[in-house]
Amino acid sequence: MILPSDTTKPIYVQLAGWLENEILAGNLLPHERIFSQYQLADMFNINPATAAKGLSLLLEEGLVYKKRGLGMFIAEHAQEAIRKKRREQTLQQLIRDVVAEADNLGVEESELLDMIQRAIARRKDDSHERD
Amino acid sequence: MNVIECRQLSKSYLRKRALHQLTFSIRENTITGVIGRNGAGKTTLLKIIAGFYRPSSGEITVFSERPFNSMKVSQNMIYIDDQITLPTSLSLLDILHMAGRFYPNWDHDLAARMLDYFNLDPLQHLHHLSKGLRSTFLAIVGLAARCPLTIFDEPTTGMDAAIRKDFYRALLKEYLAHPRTILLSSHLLHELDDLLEDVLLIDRGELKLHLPVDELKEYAVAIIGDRELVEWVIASRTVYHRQQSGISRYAAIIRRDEDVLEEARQHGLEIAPVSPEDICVYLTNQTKGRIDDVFDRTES
Amino acid sequence: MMYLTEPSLKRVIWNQYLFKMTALPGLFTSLILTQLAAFALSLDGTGGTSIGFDTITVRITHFSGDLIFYFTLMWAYIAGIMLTIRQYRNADFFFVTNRWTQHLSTIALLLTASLYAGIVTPLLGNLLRLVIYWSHPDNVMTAIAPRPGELLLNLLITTWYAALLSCFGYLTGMLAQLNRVFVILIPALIIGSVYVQDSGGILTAAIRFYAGETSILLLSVKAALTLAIVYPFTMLITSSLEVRR
Repeated sequence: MILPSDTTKPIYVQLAGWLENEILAGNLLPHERIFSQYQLADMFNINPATAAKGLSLLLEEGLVYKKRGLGMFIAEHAQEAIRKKRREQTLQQLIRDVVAEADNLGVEESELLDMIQRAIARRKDDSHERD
Repeated sequence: MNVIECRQLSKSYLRKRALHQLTFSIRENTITGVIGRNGAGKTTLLKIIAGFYRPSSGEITVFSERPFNSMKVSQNMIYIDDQITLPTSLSLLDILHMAGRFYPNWDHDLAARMLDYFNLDPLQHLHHLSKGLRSTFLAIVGLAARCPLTIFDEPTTGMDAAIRKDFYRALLKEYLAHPRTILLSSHLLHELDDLLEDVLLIDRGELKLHLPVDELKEYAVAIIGDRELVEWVIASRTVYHRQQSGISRYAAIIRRDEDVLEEARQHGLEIAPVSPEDICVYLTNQTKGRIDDVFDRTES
Repeated sequence: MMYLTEPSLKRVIWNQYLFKMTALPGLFTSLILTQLAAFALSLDGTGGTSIGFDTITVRITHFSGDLIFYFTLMWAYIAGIMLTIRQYRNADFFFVTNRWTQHLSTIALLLTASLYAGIVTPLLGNLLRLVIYWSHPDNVMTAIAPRPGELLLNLLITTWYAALLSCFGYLTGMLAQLNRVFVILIPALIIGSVYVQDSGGILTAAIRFYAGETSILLLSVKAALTLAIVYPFTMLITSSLEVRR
């Protein structure tokens, strides 16, 4: 498995992001055991210490909890917490970036909004095709 | 627990000073990359750790013993490089059997399966193999021995990219299944940076850095943009490297500093990460000027 | 954590010994070839005289296993040197060893080879007698039949001498490893000493010390003591040798 190539972020941060995506998508359910550092190391071909760092990021944010001797488990409200966080931090930041970039390129507000709507529509079409 | 402890370790020969006052320790069950240029002293250091060379001064202990002439160290350590020669009458299979006699953790099945995977004929002889296959075979032995301390000194010499990838993968899988302390020296840091936990950077016999790879990845940043602006933003900070690429792309590489980064962002400058390999190159720079200068001079 | 293995010196020496036995068959094949060459050369006789009267000429030819014996000793000396070659010594360190176990396993190998030489040489000598006897049916032979106990005596003598020679060869080789200078120095000293002193120097003295001995028991003691002194000496002076290419 390969992490989406984002060279500006450290691997363990990207890994935490991937895990969060999995939780968001419902692939990892509350009180389920999350992948161990060794499993993650195997899956992503990275050093287990790096994987452990990624896991501890999740632990710090309360998205997972530790059960002594048994490993780490997904917290009850992890999905919600992530969604909330993403909405606030990530999406806001992305929006800020898009607006700034559009400004740099001289794209007008109406054109920008048009592009966003088209992207939304395309995504709806894609998900309909899949169903 | 520290498997290797090193204090003011030095090694010199008649005319040359190979290692100078190295002080560091290696934790148990970690994969450490020993990085440095040719002649930096990597092999000398690894051979001292292996007990092949004696230090000139300073202290070194491996498994709490001095490695030179130590049975304990020899028993629990294996050293693999590309210069190993074994008696020509032995076939690859003979070598595997022999290794099994010496190393109690030896996994013969694993070795045999790997031999098969890499299309090595067990009845062949080591000196008949090409460089790449020799390295591959020796690497297999190094992994299958499952020694608590496993040292690989440029193990991938002669291996093509596909085989190198397989080797790193095999190393990781073995490490996950049977953790051990691994020292790995290589020129190709960019291929290793996901595999390693720590990096030991040696330059001209001295210890330059000993950091986790994650920290090394964030050690330096590149500030990119208009030349004057970049120079102004970084002010009097130490610059590891400067580069002009294209009309308005001037990059200065400095130690990561949040203040400078914030300043740079506000002025619309681009910030890019610096790969561990690049930062190691910059920190160990020995050349006078740049390669371009050699050519530029001849033109004028 | 992978548990550390406590090394067993005995085990390591044994494994190193086995390693060398399987990895260096050339040691024994070179002995066989050397002896065959000596054997072939001995078929013509090792000396002879001619006595003539009016019409009768008596030609006496000596045959002996001496040539085979001397060739074997030469082989032993060279074998001792060969085992000190860097390539071979470095190979040990690929597996498990320290300098002591390396020496001890090599010494065990040399002693084994010496015993092997000790067994084969007298047998070859006897074979030589047989061949001479059968290939010269019309001639008169004297002292052709082996004396009782001679085989065993020759076995012991050859073994001890091979052991001594290989021990000195090992010392020579190791000194050369310490310093290239010895490669020239030692042969020069030995050969030179033959000419310098009236009595013939170190070399002749040494030969007389061992070869002049008429009692097999005393010879065994002398040889054993020599080995017990020279080998440890060799081990001590080379205990700091590094594993270099």
